[in-house]
Amino acid sequence: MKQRGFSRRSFLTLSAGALGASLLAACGSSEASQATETGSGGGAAQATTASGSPAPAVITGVTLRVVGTGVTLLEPIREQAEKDLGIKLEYDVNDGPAAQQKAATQPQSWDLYDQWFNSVKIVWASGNAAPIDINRIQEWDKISPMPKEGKLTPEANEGDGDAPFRILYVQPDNTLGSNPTEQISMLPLTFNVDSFGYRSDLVDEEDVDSWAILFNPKYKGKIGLYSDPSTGLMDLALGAQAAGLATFQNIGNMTREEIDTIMEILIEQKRAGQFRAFWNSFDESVNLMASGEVVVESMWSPAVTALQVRDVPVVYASPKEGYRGWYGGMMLNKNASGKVLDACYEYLNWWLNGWAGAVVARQGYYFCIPENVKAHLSQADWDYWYDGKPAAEDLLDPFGSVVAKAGSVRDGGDLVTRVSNIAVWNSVMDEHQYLVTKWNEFLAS
Amino acid sequence: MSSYSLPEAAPVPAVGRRRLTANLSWALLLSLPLLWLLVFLFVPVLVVLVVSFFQPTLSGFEQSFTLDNYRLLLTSGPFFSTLANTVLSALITTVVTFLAGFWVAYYLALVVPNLRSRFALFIIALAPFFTSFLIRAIAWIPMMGREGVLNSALLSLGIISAPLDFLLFSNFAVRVAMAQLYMLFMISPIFFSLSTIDPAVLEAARDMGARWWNILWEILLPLARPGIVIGAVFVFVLSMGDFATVRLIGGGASTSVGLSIQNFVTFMQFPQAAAAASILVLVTVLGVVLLLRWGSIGEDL
Repeated sequence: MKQRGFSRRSFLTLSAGALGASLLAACGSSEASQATETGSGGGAAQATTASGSPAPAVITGVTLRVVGTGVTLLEPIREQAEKDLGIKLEYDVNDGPAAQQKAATQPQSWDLYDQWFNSVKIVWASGNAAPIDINRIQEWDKISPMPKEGKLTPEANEGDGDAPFRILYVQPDNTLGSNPTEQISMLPLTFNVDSFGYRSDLVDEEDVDSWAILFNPKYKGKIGLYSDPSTGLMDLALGAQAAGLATFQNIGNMTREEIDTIMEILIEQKRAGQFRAFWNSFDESVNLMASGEVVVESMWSPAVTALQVRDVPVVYASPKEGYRGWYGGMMLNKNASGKVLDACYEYLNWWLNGWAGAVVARQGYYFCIPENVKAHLSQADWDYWYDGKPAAEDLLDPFGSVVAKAGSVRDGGDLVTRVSNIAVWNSVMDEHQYLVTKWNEFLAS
Repeated sequence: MSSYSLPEAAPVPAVGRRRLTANLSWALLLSLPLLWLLVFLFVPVLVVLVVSFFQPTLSGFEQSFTLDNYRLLLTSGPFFSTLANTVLSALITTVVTFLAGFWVAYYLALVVPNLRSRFALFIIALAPFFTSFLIRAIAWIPMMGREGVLNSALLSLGIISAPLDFLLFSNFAVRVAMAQLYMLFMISPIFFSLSTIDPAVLEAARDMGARWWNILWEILLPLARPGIVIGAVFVFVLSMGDFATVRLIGGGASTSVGLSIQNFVTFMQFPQAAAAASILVLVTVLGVVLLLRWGSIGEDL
């Protein structure tokens, strides 16, 4: 008891008294948690948590198992959520394909699946996921229209392929579609737009405004690519189209003939030595560029910042054809029930309060309710990451290392500019199985 | 030497009882490894074989019989070139490890005078294996890359004027790396078979006027053959199944069936992965059988 009192006090001191009754409960005192739970629901409304959201009902003795990727399964988020919610969280961190595989083949090993919308079709098809009831998502209405309806501004591009809004709503026949219902496949949370990074000292400025650079003979043998078909192929298809090598009706959902066409081009280019290497993990993509093996590489935005901090002169391109978009979120396991199910919803609602969104913002990702994030970000962070203004000071990532030096500007501008030009989303096409067979042949040729 | 064979093991009825108890205790002693093999080798292989005939779906498979997975692979040009490249890489690696490893084994077993320093040196040869496979494979990248140690050295010595690209992310790089990684599997069995050679035999040969190469060709190589064949089987099988080296060192420019299987698994096309795996097992077993027959190893053991 003494022990508990001490840790409670130190928490209070640390957070300058901002913690409400719910935190006491979260610290583990069962009486306190009982007290909060009495009159649960409405009664919790007055209390606030450290993350400033309405205090959720505390559910004790529940362990939530979240399977996902290192993009969002971050230790600071886990710790804060445990503190705020009083539940135990187990993060199972994998690379994208491995997480998807667990979700689809080992339903008994997870409660929530934290990954990206381009895996929704596959996990939904496995039958392991249950629809999420939007009536239990308190801030559903505040979520930006982009994942719900397709765009942020009327003039923006929706983008081809698996845009979240096309596979968000569970239809009466249990398929996924854009027709709004009260049940969704994945709760949209974080997102970003991807392009390619290039060495500004080794690549001509005139080549960097188009995906066509991937096929530019000037950079033969110096191109790095992502080995995943539902993202890597999109980059290449955008490049082939921009270079005038092929055209596609719908780049996010190609026909067999279109797949054959692009694969033929790709195999020919690969045999001619256009592509230097294919990466599978974030670290590999950083190392390929850092070691000088490639000068142009399809990569993720934090990989570019990781290189910039190391003083490798890498810029994230803003191609005129548009970006490749991705949206992350969480899916619910169909086996979750009772307390576990309640805890799942608490955790989802907690995520929406923006505290976690502020953590991932400092990795370069956007959040589905920007105003909630704003409350948890410093002005300097917000100006740099969301508004595209020069960094007022050295900015830190969630783990305390510098990600942006004072005076630097985020490539591509502010949120609206960047996400208004999405050419295609990471997608699983109707011809997915045909595609992966062909893609494997491409990787092997 | 090859005409040597074991005497016929004629059954002796008089000791039948003792034989039975002996058999029984052997059966008991062998039951554990047998169970091990059954549960962790035969059953999984059987499962893979069964799955290879299932219909793949978006997120797994349906249990309905199809030959499509094999048809798709066996009618695909790229798969055959992958298979050919895998076999070629495995053969090259086997030959290279033999050519380089034999002398190490020779030196350790026959030149180093006393047993203690012999084993000390053998342990040193083992040293690279104290680090993990992955670390050794990754260590190649700063060594062989465009801006790696080797290229920088060659450039500063003026031997080349531009970095050599084929040192990394190429078939060449994969084969060099595999030869290094698997060298020990060749050295050890040869070392052990050379160690069993009675020095008196070599002395006698020398006394009778045999030259060094006569001894090598007519005594050492034939007597080391079991070790060579076992080493070759190890290296061949390991290289046939390799996917990690191919992925890390090959970087997309090289390919193997193992890597294709891994890709299929990543893309959750398990039946196709299983079909490719079954074909790989078949070809590997065929290779091993040929190696063993060529080495006529049955007669020597």
